[in-house]
Amino acid sequence: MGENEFAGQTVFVVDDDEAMRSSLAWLIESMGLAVRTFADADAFLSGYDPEVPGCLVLDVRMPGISGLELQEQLGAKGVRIPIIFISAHGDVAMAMRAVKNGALDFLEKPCDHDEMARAIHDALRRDREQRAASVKAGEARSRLTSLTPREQEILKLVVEGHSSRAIGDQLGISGRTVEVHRARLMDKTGAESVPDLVRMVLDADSDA
Amino acid sequence: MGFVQRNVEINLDSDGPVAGVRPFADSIRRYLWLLAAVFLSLAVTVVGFISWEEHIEKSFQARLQLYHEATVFQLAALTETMLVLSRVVAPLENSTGPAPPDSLHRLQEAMPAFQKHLGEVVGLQGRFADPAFEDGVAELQASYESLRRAAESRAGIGREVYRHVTRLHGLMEEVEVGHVQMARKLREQRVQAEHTMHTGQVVAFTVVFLVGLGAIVRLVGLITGTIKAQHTAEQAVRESEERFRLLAENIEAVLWVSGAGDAGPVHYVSPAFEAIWGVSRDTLRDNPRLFLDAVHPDDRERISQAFERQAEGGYDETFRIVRPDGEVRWIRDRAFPVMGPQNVVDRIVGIAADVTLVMNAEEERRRHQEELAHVARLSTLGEMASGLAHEVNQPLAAIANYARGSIHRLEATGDEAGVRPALEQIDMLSRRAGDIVRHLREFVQKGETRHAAADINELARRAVQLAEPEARRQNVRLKVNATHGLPPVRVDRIQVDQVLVNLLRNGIDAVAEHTGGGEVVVTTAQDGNMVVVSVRDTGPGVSEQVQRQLFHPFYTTKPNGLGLGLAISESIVEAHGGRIQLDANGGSGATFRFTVPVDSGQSKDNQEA
Repeated sequence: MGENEFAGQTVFVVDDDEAMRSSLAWLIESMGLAVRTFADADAFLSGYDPEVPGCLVLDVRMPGISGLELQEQLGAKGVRIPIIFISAHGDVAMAMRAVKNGALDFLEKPCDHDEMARAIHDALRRDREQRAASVKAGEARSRLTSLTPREQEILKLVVEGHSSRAIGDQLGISGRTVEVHRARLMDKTGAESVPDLVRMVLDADSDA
Repeated sequence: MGFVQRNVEINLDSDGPVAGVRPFADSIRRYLWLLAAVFLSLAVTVVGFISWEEHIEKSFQARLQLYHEATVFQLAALTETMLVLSRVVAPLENSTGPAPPDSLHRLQEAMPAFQKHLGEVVGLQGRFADPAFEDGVAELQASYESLRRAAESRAGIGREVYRHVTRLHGLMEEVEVGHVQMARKLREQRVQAEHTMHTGQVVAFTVVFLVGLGAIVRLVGLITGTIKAQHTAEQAVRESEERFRLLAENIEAVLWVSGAGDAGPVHYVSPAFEAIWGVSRDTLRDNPRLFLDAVHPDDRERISQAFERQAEGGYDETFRIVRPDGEVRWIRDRAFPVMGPQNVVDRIVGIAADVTLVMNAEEERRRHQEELAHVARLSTLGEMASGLAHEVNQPLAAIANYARGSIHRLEATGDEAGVRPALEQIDMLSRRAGDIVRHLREFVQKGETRHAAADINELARRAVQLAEPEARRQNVRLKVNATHGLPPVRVDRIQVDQVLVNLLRNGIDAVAEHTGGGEVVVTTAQDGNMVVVSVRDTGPGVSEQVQRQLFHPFYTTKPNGLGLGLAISESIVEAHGGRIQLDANGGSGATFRFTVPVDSGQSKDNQEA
């Protein structure tokens, strides 16, 4: 049990059925995770702080705002908390819609507990990665934005895998000048190698 | 007729010339001799006549008895055909439109037999100088006439025909009761009459004797007149007896006469007995207990007890018999007590009919109704299946969570006491799931109708539990407004459950379609010896057009409905002796209301359907 692995993360549970909610809390706590439960979508929306890392276990069918609607509302707000849907009705269309909207998993009640544990762990890891990635992306973006337009132009071509000479030919400048720009942009971004540079560009793009 | 000849002789002598005392004394002597002879033979004749008259009197009495029994049978036969008529028109009770052609047809088929028996009873008019009987029969005839007219004119209103038959039925019973009372009275008068008649004759004779010979002619006339009248009465009795015999020997029902008591001697059993019971009449005569022994073991106790009521006239039983060949038949047996001279019931006359066909038809009808109700329940359940699956799945999923969570904890900490709250939840939830499953299983069960005492409030809550998932899905609240302290009702739980679920679902659909939110409230209350259950919704109410067809089978306003809900609810409620109706209706919603009987705490299983 990687208890420490998920320290500081919280599993949020939204389900209108009291027995379901309490039993999920009991189960998730037993996995060494912190849990917070909500009886409906409204309660979650007003009680949830997106800064708190974690994942969301969400019942599909609820009176008032349904699980799918909550997912859409969160998406619209730019909240990217990983969502695991649970449903008592093996509704394929609903699962498709949920997954299309970015749901991480769609489990049927009563769910297999190993599957549930795996899904929750995946979701928490995903959240952690997303948060880390978003930090990295922020850094990468701020580095990349410090480049001059010419440097950015050259960066794009370097990342695409062109050689300095080819870039010079394409831009109508000498290979040497390209080399100078390249050295400066490596310096500005702090990249140690071309693969490093490529990763940085991908990071910056990933969180768009 | 020796008297007449002797009279002539006297007349001739008296007409002869009278000369002197001697011839006169001779005449006197001759007259005296003659007078003595006449007196002697008269005395002998009178004595002979008196004993002969007593003999006639006895046989007259016996025949009158038979005559009386015959009229009882006529009435019984009339009542039997009445029963057929009632069954035929029973479905017309609530129909206000024209009577359905098949009902009318069956009615018209059943009527000739009724008319025939009515004719026989009408023929008895004037025989008993009993105004109550005459009036009853006259009214019976008039009522029958209006029934005949209503049935013949095809435009006849269904309920009208039913009303006539019900009225006839009531009259029949009045006439029958009246007749039995009248027959008793007649018997008493008859004893008196007999007495008067007897002394009257003696007095007449004495008077004649004192007045003189000339009156003997009148006496003879009187005697022969009496004898003749006696003959006419005897003939009427014989004819009536003949009619009775014809009726008794040819009717399909068994006419029987027995001594009072549970195994009294069997005086008479008509031949139909052998065909129905499959036992010869001699066998029964030799062993009267055979009658009770032939009764189906399940009914025997009841019939044995009912025998004791025969002497009071309260005997009308329907039971099964088992023939020697193993075949089971249904018998409807009715008995009428007959008073003996000491005003004590000394025999019982009865009529037993084979009603197997009627009972089988009734049974068949009931089975069809049960099957239809079962199909409707299955269909209802099919429509509710996904919601109900959720209802069972939810506690199961929660149980699984609690169990797995507890295992984790035990593995991690070994703290056994710590998992107690979860175990308590598991216990509670597993019972909740089990309850629902049990209820569902009951609901789809296909069983014989079983009436037993039940708590109507509990039935209402159970039905709400079944309808709850659908209500939640449609955003409708369900409430039970139970009146506390209601007496138990006598119902088939599953069927009443079905009625409640039907009404609840209709209410939920009405509310959901209307506003997409609202409530359906079940209210219970008592009204005399019935319990009233109302189901009120906050939907749009029932339109006038829908109202007219509300209880018709296969009429539905729902896209996927079978249209059986209310039709079946109606037949269930009516089989319970209650009524179902649309009670209130309007913009604020509809209220359906039905009644079921309070349990009177009687025997556990009632055979009468």
